[in-house]
Amino acid sequence: MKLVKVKLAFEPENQKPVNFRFGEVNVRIGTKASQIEQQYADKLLKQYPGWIELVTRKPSGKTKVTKEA
Amino acid sequence: MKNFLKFSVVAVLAIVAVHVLPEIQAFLNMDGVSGETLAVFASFVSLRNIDEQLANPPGIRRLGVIAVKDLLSTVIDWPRAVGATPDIDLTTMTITTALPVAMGKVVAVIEPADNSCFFTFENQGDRYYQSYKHAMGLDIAGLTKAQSVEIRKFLNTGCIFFAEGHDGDIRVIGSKLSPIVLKSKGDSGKKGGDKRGYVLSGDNDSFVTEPPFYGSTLALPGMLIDEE
Repeated sequence: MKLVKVKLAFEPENQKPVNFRFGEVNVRIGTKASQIEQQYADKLLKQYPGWIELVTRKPSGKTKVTKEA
Repeated sequence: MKNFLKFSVVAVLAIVAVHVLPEIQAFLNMDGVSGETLAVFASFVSLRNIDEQLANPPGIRRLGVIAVKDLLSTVIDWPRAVGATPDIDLTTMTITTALPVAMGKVVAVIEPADNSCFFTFENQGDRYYQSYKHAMGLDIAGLTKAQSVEIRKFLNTGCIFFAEGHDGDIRVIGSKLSPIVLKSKGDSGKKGGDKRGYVLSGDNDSFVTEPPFYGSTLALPGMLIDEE
């Protein structure tokens, strides 16, 4: 069971997380990143494009400084 | 000699047609389709009661609703049972396309009074004129301001309902082009024990199928299993 981090790609009207129901399973996603099973993330990305976005790890904040010759 | 050649050509063409046409139909996924109609006739197989030792729980444990105005304007109808890209798999009576709701809009959950929610369906009409009718209803206990405001929203508003049975199956009542418009009736009651509240009901007809099942692999935004 692989987990991925996702969040809503929009601001909901009532500021509450949106619950997506798959049969007997609830998948709740808010504006902050939360972990869900990848199978549900894949289905949501396909069935409701634009509703959620995958949260990927940002590159480290360190920037390489190169000296100009 | 010429007649023999003509006959030979026609015979060869007929043999080719007999052998090639079925393969073309199979390639186009049109097995069993005659050249005159696109309707596929499904032969009877069996019809029987549910298996022994299985429960058959009646009633609706939860009801979801969405206004058709909240669906994507780009989608003409949903769920469609016919057409080039139907949303209902007629071999399983299950919807295969997720509810095409506008971004951020979700299915609201209605909590009916105990043992009051139901849906019915029937096919009606003379032979060759038959189609399906969907109907549903529920009671809401109470006559509060908040309930009055909420029920006001149903006025002249086309809706699609999601009826969840006690076995967990969700059936979809109404469609975008043939929605359910609720009629509401309020009753103050007369004495103790009377049912003070609303009685809501609605129906529509000319459906191609009975209320289809919402697929368990499809997301349904907003319909919670447990209320908070």
